[in-house]
Amino acid sequence: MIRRTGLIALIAALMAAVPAPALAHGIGGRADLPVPIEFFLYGAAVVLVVSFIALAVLWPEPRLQDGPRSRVLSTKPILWPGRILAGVGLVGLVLVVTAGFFGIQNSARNVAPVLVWVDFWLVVPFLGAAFGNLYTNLNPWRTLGSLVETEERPAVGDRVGVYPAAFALLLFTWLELVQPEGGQPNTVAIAAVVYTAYLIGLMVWAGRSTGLQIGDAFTTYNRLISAISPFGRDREGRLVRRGWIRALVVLPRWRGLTFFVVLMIGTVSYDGLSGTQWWRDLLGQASGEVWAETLGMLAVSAAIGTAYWVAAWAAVILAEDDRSPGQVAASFAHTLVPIALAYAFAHYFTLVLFEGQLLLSTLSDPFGQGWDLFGTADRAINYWMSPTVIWYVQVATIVAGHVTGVILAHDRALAIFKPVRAVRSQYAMLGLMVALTSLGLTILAAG
Amino acid sequence: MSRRPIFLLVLTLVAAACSGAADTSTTPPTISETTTSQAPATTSPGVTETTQTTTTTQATTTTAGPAVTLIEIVVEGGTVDRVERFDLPLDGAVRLVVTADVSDEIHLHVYDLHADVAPGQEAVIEFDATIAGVIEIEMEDSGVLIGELQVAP
Repeated sequence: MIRRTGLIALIAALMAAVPAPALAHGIGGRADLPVPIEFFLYGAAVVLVVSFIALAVLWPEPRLQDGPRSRVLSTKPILWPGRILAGVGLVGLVLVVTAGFFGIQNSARNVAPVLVWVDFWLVVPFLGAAFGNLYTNLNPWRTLGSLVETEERPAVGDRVGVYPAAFALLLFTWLELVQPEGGQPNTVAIAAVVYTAYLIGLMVWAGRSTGLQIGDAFTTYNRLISAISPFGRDREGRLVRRGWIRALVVLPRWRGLTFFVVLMIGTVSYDGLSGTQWWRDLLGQASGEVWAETLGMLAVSAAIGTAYWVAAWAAVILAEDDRSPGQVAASFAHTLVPIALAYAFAHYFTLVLFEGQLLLSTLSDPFGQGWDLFGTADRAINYWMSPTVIWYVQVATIVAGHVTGVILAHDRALAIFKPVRAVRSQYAMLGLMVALTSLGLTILAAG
Repeated sequence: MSRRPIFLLVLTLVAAACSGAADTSTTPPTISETTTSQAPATTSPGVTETTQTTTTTQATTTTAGPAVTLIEIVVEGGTVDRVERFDLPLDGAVRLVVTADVSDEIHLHVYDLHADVAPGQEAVIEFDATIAGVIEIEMEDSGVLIGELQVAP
């Protein structure tokens, strides 16, 4: 307890030492227009109706719990696409570090910020959700880790779970959303170097797989998101076709997984909330101050976590089960992954479509030195998608994510609770899902 | 029969979640300090700020006809009292004037327009609001957000 208090004091002191109040959103300086209120109402109504039908009528038996039935698409392990991806990952890391340190210090003209905040952080997981996990091969630290020859220590993985990765995720999103210099090329380069040193240290200590498993935020992030995809790889490395979301059900239950998933939702929620006038008025003069925004980000994540824990507790009561709320929360953690993806996609897909175009101009002149390698250096961003279409995509994404979450939770409840109590236990989860839908849409509506 | 109370409980929860959410999203629309441009006869268009009348109204209501929407932001102590969000119609002409007690560079994101500001030297940025979205106005050197444009069709 004393150690924890000391740690909090230390963090607070560090935060107070950081000056320069400002809002940072990685790159861009643009946000989407608020979603009109009627969209929000339709969205919530659809979630309600679909959830109730799914719960009460269509789904009396668990269907997903056995995991995916995979159909092998390639008889041999696929090697070359993986090697090309690994090369791209390494080149990307080198580019981020060199351009970040030695290139022009302008986030719109340097290739480092767009590579990290758009391509690495958003495009790779979004593609993973559709086409299967690209990150395993792309991961430059995994490639570097093949130089490390240390014995694997799986016992370490069992003991610490994914907690280090969750804290890494928290720091990364803090750099994106709170730290005013987060969009600056040299900040991105420093972060990349520090993160590389951190992961190499972990891999030397615990072995390559175990080190990445416990410490690499993006290994866990991409594994969770790409379990939604209908494509994957089996143990022999062969490409397989499987059902959508089915791999989520059989994800390993690493320690700290619940914490990780709650952070995925909490940090994106903070990003949306912090852009609203409501949030700025709430913080008043402290708005934009690093310490206040940091506390705000932690508070929003804590609120999401508390709501989830309460839903798990209520499920235990309603199901008259003898598990602890924590066990139930862990058992349902995978049901939050589609919601986390939906939040991230609804908030950031225009960042990919619009600011993502910076990759074309900055790759042609990665250091901002006036080069034009591909003839695209002068290309300006084309904001081509209309606000109306953006709204439809956002609302559809939020609703689809929550319906998927409700279905997964219902199926898990049928499997672990007494049959007569299972549906009843889901009223609490449904309440949470609807609350999260409302929150997601309200943030979009409040802009 | 025993399922019914819980059914109702969920409905109530759901209703509470919806209404709670609706409450927060129906907060009053952003009232922005805008100044109606009333071109005086005696001065050139470049220096009209000194004779404008300030009114507190929504920016969207001040743009009848070909009038330019004028947005004024005052920076004191290197920051603003409150980060305002200025509503603007898509494709409307805009004149953004920033006065400050510090030296910095004003950066209007997305449109990517810059103007220097200093004590006694206003930053003036004139443009047509052709790109929709919520767009940051930032002091480039200090990184302080001083306002946002909300450009909507």
